[in-house]
Amino acid sequence: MSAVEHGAGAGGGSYLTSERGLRSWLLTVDHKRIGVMYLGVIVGTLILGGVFALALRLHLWNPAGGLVSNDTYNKLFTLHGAVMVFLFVIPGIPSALGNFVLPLQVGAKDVAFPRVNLLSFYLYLAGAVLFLVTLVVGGLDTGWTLYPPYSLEGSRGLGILIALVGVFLAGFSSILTGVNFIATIHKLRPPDMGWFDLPLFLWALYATAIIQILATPVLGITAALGFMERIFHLGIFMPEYGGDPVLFQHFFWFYSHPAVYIMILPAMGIVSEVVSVFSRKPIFGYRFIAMSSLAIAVIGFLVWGHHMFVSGQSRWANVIFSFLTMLVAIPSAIKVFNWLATMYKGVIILKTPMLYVLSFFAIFGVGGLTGLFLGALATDIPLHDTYFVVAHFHFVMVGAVMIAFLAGVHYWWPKMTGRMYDERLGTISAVLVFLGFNLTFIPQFLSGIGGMPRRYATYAAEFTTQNRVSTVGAFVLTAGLVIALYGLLASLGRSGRRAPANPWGAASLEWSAAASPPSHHNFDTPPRGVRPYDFSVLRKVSEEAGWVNAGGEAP
Amino acid sequence: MTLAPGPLQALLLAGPGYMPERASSVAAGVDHVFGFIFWVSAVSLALIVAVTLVFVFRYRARASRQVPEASPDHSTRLELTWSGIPLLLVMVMFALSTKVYLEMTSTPPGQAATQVKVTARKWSWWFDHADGKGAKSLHVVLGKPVELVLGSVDVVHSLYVPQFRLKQDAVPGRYTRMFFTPVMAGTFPILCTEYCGTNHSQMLADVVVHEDQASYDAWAAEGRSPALSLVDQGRKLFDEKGCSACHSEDGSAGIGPTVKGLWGKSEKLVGGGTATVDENYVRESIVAPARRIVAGYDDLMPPIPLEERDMLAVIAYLQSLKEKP
Amino acid sequence: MNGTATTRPGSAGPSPFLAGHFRSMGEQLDTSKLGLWLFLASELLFFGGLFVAYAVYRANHPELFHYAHHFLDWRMGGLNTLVLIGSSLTAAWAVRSAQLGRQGELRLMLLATLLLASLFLVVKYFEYAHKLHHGVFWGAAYHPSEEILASLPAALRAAPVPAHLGTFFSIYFLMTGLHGIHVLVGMGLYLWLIRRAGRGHFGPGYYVPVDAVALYWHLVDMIWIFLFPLFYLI
Repeated sequence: MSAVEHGAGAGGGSYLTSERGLRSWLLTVDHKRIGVMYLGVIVGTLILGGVFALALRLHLWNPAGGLVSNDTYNKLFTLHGAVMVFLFVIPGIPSALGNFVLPLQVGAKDVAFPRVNLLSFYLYLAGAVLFLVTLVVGGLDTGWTLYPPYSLEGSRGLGILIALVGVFLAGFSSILTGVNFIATIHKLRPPDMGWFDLPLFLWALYATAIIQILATPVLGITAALGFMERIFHLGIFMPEYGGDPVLFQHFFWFYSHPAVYIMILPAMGIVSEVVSVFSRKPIFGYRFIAMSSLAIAVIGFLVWGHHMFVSGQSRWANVIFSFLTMLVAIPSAIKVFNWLATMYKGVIILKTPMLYVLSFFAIFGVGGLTGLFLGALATDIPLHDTYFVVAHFHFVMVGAVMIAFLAGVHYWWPKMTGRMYDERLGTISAVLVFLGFNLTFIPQFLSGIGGMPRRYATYAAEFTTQNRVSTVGAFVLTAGLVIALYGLLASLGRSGRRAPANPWGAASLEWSAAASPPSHHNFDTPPRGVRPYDFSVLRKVSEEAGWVNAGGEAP
Repeated sequence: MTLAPGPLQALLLAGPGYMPERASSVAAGVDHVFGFIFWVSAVSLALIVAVTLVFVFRYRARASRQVPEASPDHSTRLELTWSGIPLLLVMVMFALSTKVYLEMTSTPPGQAATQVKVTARKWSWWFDHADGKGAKSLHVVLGKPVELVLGSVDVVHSLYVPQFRLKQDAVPGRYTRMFFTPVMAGTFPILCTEYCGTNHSQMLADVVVHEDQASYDAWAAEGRSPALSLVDQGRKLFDEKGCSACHSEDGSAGIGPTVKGLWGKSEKLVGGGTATVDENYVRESIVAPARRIVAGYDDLMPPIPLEERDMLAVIAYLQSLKEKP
Repeated sequence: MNGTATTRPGSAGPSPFLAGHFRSMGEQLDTSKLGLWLFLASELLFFGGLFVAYAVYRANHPELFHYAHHFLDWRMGGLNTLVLIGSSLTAAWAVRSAQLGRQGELRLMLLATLLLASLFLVVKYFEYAHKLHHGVFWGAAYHPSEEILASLPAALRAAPVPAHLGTFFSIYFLMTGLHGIHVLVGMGLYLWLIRRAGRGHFGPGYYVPVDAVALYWHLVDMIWIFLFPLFYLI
């Protein structure tokens, strides 16, 4: 009797069954349960943001709009953006997958501060609830970027105040998660696990946590200042009281640009894990990838002004920001080449996580390369605030981050749930998501080049075909996502196949030393450090029983 | 470094072919930078996709391929190479683009620009030309450099002309500048590209590029002709100043009260009290609209500065719409 | 679950406060301190935003700052600075007392810190009350009384009043107010420590909370040490 045959840890059930009842979940300090709760809420926010997206894409079927009023359309794109950015893309991978995986990968029983971890979850949940509340008090129509003076005008309603509090709380959650992750990676490793023995997902989370801790407070103060400005007319952002609206833009983007690296770095971490395991080869250029994560985190703090090239900022500030922006492309390019080199002479296993990762290469390629047009001043001037920008950021945020999120959810699903998802459904979903995604967003590049601005409830007739193709694509993408969700949830039913401890033959500790699903304490005996990409120490027993350590020991 | 176009190069530089016409002096330069970035990107993407597909096919797991062949797990030389080449390419992009950008944001040396003051408001544009003529379209002369001085009375807007490849935010509380020299005659759309509320997508205007100075002068001379009656002048202003965007003239409901039959009415106000729509109420509603708002409407109207004779014309027009007894 | 907990010499057995996921008390102490330093980094960036706002407004409107800082009494600010520095001393002393197991001294130092913090807020109350009584509000609500204007130096009374003076006071109330909130939070933390010290929780084997709260308190002190000259002296 071993963990190879059942899903549970030897003698005593898994973290899912070790305690029962609602209270044991709501008051848990177990990082695995917290991760699962985050995952549930995060999928919920993806669905909510997605519903807004479908509504606005339907409205854009006709150039003159007509499905809803201009005001309603403006609320739809605002809430789509705010929910997706603050509640899905920024916290998604770190909170839902990182919380679950990090302590396991680092060989610890939990994160450094488990109770703070639970606090993080409730702060996030409170922020999410507040965004929902804005729907009820008349909505929010300022764009997710909340620029004053428009957002802080007296006639704007209560929605903005509630949203600012929601942003503050969600931000606080992010900061505390970052503190937890850095402390855990620094202090809770086994004595024989050095920095360059860490799986690259941990390097990614570490770099992300640096940004979470240093950038998010600026969002917090911005939200607080906006709130106070609206109520007390401080004269900080509103010109009529002596304030400067461009100052808000500086504050806002000082956080929100590094925030996009909070989004992409963990996604790149997942890609590193999956491409290695599903090529059966150690990752190529481990050190370059690890260092490039840190480089992206650092340089990412210096480029925020590229969102403000036409704001009235000085020409020379623009030139400096443009230069630094072009530089930040390089570490990302290095990663792509290293990933491809990892596949060279490997054994490519085309399971669902790998299918998503392969589509990531093409889509992130487009997303990153189109960023060059926007970092270069001459081309940014005409393209700023057009659909070119909308397409660019959807390619990186959805095409790259969401797809990596799906790769990660499928990859770690057996570990989290003890079940294998249906591979056929996973494959279908990956293909539909890839096709639907491209159908939705490639036409938007063309609209932007042609001069169609963003946040437009009505548009010039010449852009009709592109908009309609994009709308059709959005429904294809949705179909893919629905199938993915169904495929995952169906595995939890009675007919779902049980997962072995190590179905993929990965070498990192969560696979080689813990059961699927893990026990409450993660490991029966404190694990020793391993080389996370050395697959030669594993051998495959069978598809059902998965892989075991070459010594025959099963977790 | 300029890219002189022969036919092949013109094809290569055309990019995806969705560009608007090139109506300003910098549009070609912008498109050349775009073309360079486009082709570098297209080749890079093609390489990435091709390598991915080739590797997936060649190295796919199958009965005859269960164990990977030996290969190094890093190569500092290779990694430096594929860091260095992209670095070089993006630096070239940066250099080309910055050069064009500096041209885009200044008047050509040795030339004097005509200055036009632009006022943005929710949801219309107003252009005060150098000779004093105000209009809701921008009028310029082919080949003559223009400097726009942009301001806003309420929120951040942005003036965008796709055919010029130019854009600049209009920020309340300060003035910003935009420079251009039109090289194509015709009429081109002006769009607002900074979200500003309900009618952001309908905040449209035109830039009219006159063939020559004579054509411009003819336009500048028309408009405030003494042949127009005060009421007709007022009707014209009512349209040009953007009033008709929110106040209908036929009695239908809008963002603001209709002006049909408005004159002389006693209106209930937000916060209690009433007001009679007379000269003083109309004047106050134009320069300080938030003070006394008709009940059932929101505080959305920005102040509209009007010269004295224009104020009289608008008043005359509204009087002409009063209900016949 | 305590497994291999190690303890410092002078204490009796593994501390009941060793959390299950740590391998030793030393690990718990190190990790807690690291965690707090990271949190303090985020606090620095949080206040940093306000310092940037101060810098931007001062650079763009120096006349505002030269005029308005005369409304602030440097003696009260100076007193508060000494009070906070003193409270940092007692906070650090408390850590030392805990490390040495001197329970009476520990409780005394914790109490002293709490009292000095309260004194800071009392002085602050008088400052704020004086201003608000005389109409010196933030932003658009700035409507100074005749009396307070008369109390300005003669040279200033003769000079033209800069526009948007309320913005200075917005920044002043924002920064000192946010700082004051952090002082209040610190007082709550010290109350909690006093309660736990009263129950004998702290000693050479376990003093992490005393250390951590003291670190937080030093940051609060340090922020004031920057605020004081920026508002009161220049």
